[in-house]
Amino acid sequence: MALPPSAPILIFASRKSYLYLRLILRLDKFLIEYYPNGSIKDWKSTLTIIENQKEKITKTIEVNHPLSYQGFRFYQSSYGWDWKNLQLQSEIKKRSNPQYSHPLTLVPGQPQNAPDNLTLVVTHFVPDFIITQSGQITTRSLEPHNPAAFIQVKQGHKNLYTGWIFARFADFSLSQAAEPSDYHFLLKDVQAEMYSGIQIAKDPGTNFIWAGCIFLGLGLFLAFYWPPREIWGLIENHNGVVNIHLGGVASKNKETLIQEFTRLIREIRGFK
Amino acid sequence: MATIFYFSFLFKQKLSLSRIGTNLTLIGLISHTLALVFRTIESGHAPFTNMYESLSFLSWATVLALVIVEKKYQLRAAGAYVLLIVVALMAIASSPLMPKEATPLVPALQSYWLWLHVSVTLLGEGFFAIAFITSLLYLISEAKTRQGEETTFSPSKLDSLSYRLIAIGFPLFTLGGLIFGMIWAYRAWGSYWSWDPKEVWSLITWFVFALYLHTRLVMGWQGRRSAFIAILGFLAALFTYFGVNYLISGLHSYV
Repeated sequence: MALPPSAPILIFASRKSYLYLRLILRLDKFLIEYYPNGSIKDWKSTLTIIENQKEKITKTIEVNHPLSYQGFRFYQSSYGWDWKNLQLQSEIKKRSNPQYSHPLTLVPGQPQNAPDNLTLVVTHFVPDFIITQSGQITTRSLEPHNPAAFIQVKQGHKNLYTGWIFARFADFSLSQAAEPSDYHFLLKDVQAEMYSGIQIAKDPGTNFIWAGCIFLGLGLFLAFYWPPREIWGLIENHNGVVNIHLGGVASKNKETLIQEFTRLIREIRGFK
Repeated sequence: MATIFYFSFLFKQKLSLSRIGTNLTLIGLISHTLALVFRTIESGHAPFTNMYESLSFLSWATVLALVIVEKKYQLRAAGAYVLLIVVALMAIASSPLMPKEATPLVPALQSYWLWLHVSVTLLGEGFFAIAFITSLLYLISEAKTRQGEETTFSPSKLDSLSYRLIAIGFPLFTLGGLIFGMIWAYRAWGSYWSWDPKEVWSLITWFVFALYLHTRLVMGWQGRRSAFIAILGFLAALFTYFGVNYLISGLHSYV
């Protein structure tokens, strides 16, 4: 499940026909660690478990290091950005005056007023902009590799600009109303809250699996090193002439019995 | 660096009918070991986190198993054929299609279970690889013997050697592949078994070798039937290794 920071979720457990509130899980902190080359090193979520209104345990989990609490196990399984709740930092610039700069915080769907009677509204946002072969604009992933916003700008009632602006490519824009104007619009930064994907597992049968593994290991050991077999010997003494009769039987792995048997005979012969 | 070892293996392969061959194999193994150690120090993680590294490690494990077997069972001549497999594995590893650079470890692989799970499993598969060769040699020499021809190897010796190799490889494969894999999966993915294609195919491999041991120990199968099962088992292991990676996608996407 996706867990946004500081909004606890409730975990219910079922008992026969009803559900009851068992635990409350709260995400205190989520962070991503990166390697120097930019690839992801680890995801870390600090989780707190609340039971009966008391904070019971706080632990920072990461991949390969889950949190265990009363048979529940909490795993770091994914992460992402809440793109439904985002803020776009943008900037208005003028070609005629390079010094001019007007910063603006935009929220999709909410028109914002700016000087010179301008109104900006973001109607679409994609975190990873791509144009498919059929010409459709979509997002390649849910990660902010190429964030782009579709903005509509009006000056009074006049359409000034309609098109895509890109956070990674400030000079590039994809506009439909290509009427040249003095203004140009930049997407400086995109902020969205991150969430942490936590997988919760409760599997009381796992202990039987571990017991099975131990039996499997023991069984293998016994089968190879302690196979059931019997070897008999009968020693007869006929007036000073000694006869030794040897016999052996094995229910399985007859090969090693033969090896052991021949070794035994060789040793007895060598004894003379 | 790996190319040098690849060529040194080629040399050994030609000479390994003699004592020099064994010594060269040993030198190759030591230099390969050093290469793996340096790679580990350089990259900071276990030397089996992508296809190239794991192929190189599988070759190393196979040669290690071969050296142990040659020492213990005095079957030097079969070494040449085993080294053919090693050369083939190193050739695939050295091909330009394989990315060779050491990349930082993705979060899922950051665990000491990486060492335990992969090294023990691949060592087990190294023994299976040698058993595959001895089983093939068995089939050839057995066919020759039936036609009354002289053979380099005694078929019954090859047959019992195959059995011993599988008897060593199977517990390793069970422990490393199955049990360690389950424990690691439980810690990393939240479930000891996910029906991932690689899991399913290694289970199939495990069943084939279990079949080998059962038919042999309980039902007394030997010779050709056993050899066929051993060959089938190694082919299943190869499919688990290559086929699943390139044909099916799953959780084991790294190696």
